[in-house]
Amino acid sequence: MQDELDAKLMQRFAMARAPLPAEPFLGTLSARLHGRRRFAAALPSVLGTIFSGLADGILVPLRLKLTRYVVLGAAAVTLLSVFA
Amino acid sequence: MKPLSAAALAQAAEAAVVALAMNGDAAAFSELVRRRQSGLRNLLRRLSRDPALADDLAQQAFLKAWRALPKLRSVGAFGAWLRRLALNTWLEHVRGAPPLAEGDPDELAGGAAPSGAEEQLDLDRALAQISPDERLCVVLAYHEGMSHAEISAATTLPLGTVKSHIKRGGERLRALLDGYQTVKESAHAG
Repeated sequence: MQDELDAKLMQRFAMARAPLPAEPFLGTLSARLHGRRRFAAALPSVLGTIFSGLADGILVPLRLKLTRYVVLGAAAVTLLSVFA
Repeated sequence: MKPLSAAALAQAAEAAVVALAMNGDAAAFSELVRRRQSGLRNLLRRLSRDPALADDLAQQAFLKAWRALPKLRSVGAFGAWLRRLALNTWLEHVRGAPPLAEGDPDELAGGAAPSGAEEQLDLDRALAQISPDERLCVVLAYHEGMSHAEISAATTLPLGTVKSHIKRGGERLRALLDGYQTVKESAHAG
């Protein structure tokens, strides 16, 4: 069974349903869409840079001569900076 | 699927355009936005009483649609699915935001109603006077042509509540609109 609705109200709603122009709505949406895409495209490269930086930070000191002293020195500097 | 030109997309049946957009065709999705934006923005304008907010929510709904389109089960269901996304976006906003003050028609004074759209302004003023749940049910019934059962499913309100909101909200809306009309007529006469 059809739900009962007020005919006059239906007419009022129909009259108020004016078509809205697509612009600038479409332009703004397109910019938001492409902004997200650019971010998504850049994300792997950003993450790659962060991880390679972290890996270099850990691995490079270990490749140096006298690694043990370098690591101990770095640990001492870290501790001093924390407790100073 | 081969991408179509903008002119060909504008002529194509919606099912075909939806199918292309589901495969990641951005131009096809733009065409869908072009076709559907007015209805969706009008729906959100009736619900929110704020054109800028309505447009922002409509954009959020379209962005969600673009991401979720590959999961759409049937191209024929696109319209109802998009409306559901818009409705959910609105409900999420309402649940997360402080409630708007009721019965403040002056809020609408800065609304971007097209010139000459007096009916639209009157309707929005009157909608501002009824409760948010009544407004939601009335707008979905009268603006979107949804059945009481569909509204109940979409809003998770019990069917009896939906019916009573539509009846009482509709009566109140009608009385308010008639009141505006009477005021206008007496102003013209005087």
